[in-house]
Amino acid sequence: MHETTVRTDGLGQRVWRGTEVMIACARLQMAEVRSSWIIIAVTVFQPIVFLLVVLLPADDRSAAAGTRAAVGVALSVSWAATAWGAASVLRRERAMGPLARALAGLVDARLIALGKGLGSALLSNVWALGTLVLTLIALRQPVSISHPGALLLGYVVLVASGSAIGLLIGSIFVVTRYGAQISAFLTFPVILFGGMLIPPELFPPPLNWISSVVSLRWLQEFLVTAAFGAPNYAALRYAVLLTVGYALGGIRLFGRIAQKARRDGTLDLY
Amino acid sequence: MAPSTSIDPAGQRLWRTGQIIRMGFLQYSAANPRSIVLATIWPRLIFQTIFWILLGYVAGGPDGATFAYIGAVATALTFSGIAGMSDVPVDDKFAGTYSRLLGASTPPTLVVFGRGVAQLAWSVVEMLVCLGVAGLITGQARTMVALVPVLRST
Repeated sequence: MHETTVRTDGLGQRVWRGTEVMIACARLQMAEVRSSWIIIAVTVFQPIVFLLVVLLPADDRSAAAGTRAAVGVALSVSWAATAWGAASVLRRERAMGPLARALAGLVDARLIALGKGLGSALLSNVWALGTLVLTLIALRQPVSISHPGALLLGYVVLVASGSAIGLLIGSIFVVTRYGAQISAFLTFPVILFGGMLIPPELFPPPLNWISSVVSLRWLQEFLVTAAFGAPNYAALRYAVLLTVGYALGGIRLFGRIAQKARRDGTLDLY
Repeated sequence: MAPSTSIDPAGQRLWRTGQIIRMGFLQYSAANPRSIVLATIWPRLIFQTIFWILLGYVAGGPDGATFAYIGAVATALTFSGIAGMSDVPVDDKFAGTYSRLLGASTPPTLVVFGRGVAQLAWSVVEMLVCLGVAGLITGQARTMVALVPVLRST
């Protein structure tokens, strides 16, 4: 006789299992990202080009100017890598089938998407940072690193922000088959209006508020001030709040869209 | 309609090449419907061009912006022209048709590059869109007008 056993896991066990799933997905994502050529273009070539464009024609090559440029480039590249990384990997997952299976599996698909976003953000930020350091050394450009602990804290929030945004981008791939085009579209408006490389004051008033809802703009403020030894923790709080907002929005949106796809029986179309 | 058997080999090759190029345009339209082109692909390239122009302005003032405008318009060609063309064999790999192409009687190079003609043609259209729209938005109308004869001569 078969007995049906209903497993009632405690909260601690569920959190542990969820963490295990996220770590496994992050590792898998890192392996997938390493096999995707586009990420090399974004995390290696793009930071070099951005830095050369910003620094070479500049009259001011002080450590302060170099730090501002380096942080702006790091954040812009981080965003581009998040959007492109999520797009290229999800495109392949949709084509090969795992996306539909993840949505119909026993494990919450949001944990999978969050874990993958984490893996992508971690790897692309490490590559971009390595490229930035080597380029700055090659250009003999001094930078200021007065508060390494605060810089590290800022990077932790940056990776968390990237993971949360990865979940939002994942939602696009579930709702439409044109996810790659839409996520590619999102790349430049955020870099343009986010205030990382282009000062928001250059835009007319109806557009210069956009940067205030981009977590990267506040991380820019925090990282630059941290580099000069007086971290602006208010800016970090804004960045954390926006990241939590992205994550909650992504969890809600992804869940609703995945549920709709299962209900409508359209999983095979993704 | 299939070609009649009376067509000579050269004519047949020409017909096949034409069909391959036509297939490329059909594939592009299927993968990128007009609404997606107008709502995502063109705006993305326009934003990209505006970004480079403003970055040029931040780095080198008005002259830097003009310099960046010309370069950014040329860079728009690479979106469909290079990235799009490289996606042709990648899509074949995803769809499982790549190995069939390798074993087919028509040379696979012709099939891949022939379908890439659509990507090249669209990349020229995209470049012209960036030239016009991003140029007008960022106040580069004079440079845009100066570039038109250069484009016509090429």
